[in-house]
Amino acid sequence: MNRVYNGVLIAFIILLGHIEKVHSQDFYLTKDGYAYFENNPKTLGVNFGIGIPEEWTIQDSELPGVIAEMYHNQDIKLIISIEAGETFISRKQARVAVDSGEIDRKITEEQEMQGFGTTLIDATSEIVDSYPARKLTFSMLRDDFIGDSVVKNPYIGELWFIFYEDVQICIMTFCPKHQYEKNSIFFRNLVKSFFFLN
Amino acid sequence: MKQFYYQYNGQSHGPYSASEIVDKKLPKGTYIWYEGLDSWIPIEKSTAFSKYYNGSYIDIWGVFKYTIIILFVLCIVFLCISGDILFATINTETESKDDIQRTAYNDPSVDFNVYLEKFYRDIEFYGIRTVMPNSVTIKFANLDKYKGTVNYNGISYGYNDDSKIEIYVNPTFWNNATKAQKYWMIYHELCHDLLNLDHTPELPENIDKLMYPHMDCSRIAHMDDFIEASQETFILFALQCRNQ
Repeated sequence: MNRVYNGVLIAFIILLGHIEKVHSQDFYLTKDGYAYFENNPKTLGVNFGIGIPEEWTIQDSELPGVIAEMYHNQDIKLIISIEAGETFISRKQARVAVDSGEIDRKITEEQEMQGFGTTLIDATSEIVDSYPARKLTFSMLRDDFIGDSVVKNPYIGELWFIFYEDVQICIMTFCPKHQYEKNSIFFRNLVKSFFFLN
Repeated sequence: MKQFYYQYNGQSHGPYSASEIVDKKLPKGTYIWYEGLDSWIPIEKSTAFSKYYNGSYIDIWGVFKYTIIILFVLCIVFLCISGDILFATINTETESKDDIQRTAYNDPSVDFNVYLEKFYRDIEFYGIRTVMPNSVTIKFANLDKYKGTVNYNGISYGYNDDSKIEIYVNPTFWNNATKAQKYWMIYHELCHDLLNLDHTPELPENIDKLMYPHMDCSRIAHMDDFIEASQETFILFALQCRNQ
């Protein structure tokens, strides 16, 4: 797993900054509040769906590795990115990789190298639609503009790494620190609504 | 010509020639006489006929002639039929291959290169190095239509020929297969063509192996089944390469 997660890095940049995005419609929405991504060239052959909460917006992105962004406002976001793995791994092997904690160290190192100013505060093993996942919780500071001045506000982000066949799916959630307690269960339910179609 | 007489119910009969005496199949103990003998003697002790009664002589033709004729006819029939089958098989295989190659087609909605690229990625991950052949053909062909390939999910013609990959996929299988079953079949055929791997013996312990000759779709329910089977194949192959 000695590799750089471009999608994750770009997702962090999206969360922490303001990048101009080009929108297209590479997914479809259903009346029961789900977004489906099927035969989308950016998803590396992975077809999936995810629940869309009321009053949330979903849009896709042309940024490398980033499949879609969902947001309630500028402060509460969810970003989905997909990276190609080195080879296929079974769920049993993924469970071992997830429990080893290797991914915690790798992501922390990468974020330190990029100077995001993040701190790992929790790491747990999870299951998303029967696939092993690792949830990393970070605290971070974001530059927010108030008039002409820049204020550093504390945020909490969650990185959910799902090991699926020969890809790694990263779902990143993000909100101001003071809203995290209220949103953490909401984020969990949102990520747990993710499901694979093939 | 010597003349023979025999006794039956106290009366003498004759004269007969030797062949006539043989044809009569006289029982042991029957007394005979012919010129040169001093007295009547049992037929089995006579010089002329003892060979028919001492047990070492068997008139095979006489006893088994119908059996021999039937066996001979059966042998001829068997040789004719087996010859026909042999030539028919050779002709069928050749005709099938020609027909398959001639009628093979691409489906724009299916990109077999994705499978090929992943196969190369995976074998390289396990340290197996191969060169991409100049000729790569992976197409659909109606294998069910041809004798010799009925019920085949796929067939490869590049085994032991490193200059080419030539695989034909049965669309009937493909359209009904799960993702894991599709990967399983393509990787199986690519192992034949690229790694020159043969089938594993048809033993119960091999039934879940990637190179088992028959694909039991009920045992390939999830991608995990394919992933673990393909990994085992690649690891063993890489070890064999290293030991050679």
